[in-house]
Amino acid sequence: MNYYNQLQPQFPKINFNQFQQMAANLPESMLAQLVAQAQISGIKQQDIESGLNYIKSLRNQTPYGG
Amino acid sequence: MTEGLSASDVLALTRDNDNVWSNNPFIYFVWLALLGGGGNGWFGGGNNATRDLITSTDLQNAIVSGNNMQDIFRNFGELTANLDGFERDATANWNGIRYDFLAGLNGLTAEVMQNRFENQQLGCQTNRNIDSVKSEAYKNTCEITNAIHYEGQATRALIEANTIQDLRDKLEAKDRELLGTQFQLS
Repeated sequence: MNYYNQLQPQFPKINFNQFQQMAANLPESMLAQLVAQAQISGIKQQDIESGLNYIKSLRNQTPYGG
Repeated sequence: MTEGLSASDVLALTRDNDNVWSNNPFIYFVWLALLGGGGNGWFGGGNNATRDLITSTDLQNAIVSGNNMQDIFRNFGELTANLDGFERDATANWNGIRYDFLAGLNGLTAEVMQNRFENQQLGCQTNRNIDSVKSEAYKNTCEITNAIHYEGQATRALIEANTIQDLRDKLEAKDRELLGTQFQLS
């Protein structure tokens, strides 16, 4: 049984403000490791790139960014 | 691949937040990694000590490794199975309760019907008793009336006999008086 496909809609939703604050404080090295882990987990390169761009855009906008 | 993000790119990304949140698996992957460790965030809050900790590859692997993701999915699966089992048990128990309730209601209805029947029987018996008393009273009244009637007849007969006898006595007296007068005249 594919639990991911069956249960994904039940996963907790992303809290935008919380995610923005956390992503702003995420070190560059950590982000690189997450990218590597995502690639190992089988996430498509296109999704990784667009997601990464989005996180970087948040870091450029947010007052939390360091 | 991450450098050179134009203003239009940022605008395009930020004006479609919902789509990015819901459709991008990498965003969700990062979100799960950030939430790792009981929801307080391994990497969040600007805590430098925590941030230093998460630079450990072992710790990161423990948080976001494929095995842990599978554990999450398996736990969700078990949770869903338990929920299904609970729903089945609840349905079965509810059906049992409903059956017991209906059976009890059926017994109660039969008892009420029996009581109504017994009350009807009791009412009929009472009515019969009342009729019997009324009949007895009518009979007694009739007998008393007849007795009075007979007594009256007897009384009237006695008065009549006495009157006749009194008249006879007076007639005999007049006869004797007349005979005595005729004897003196002769």
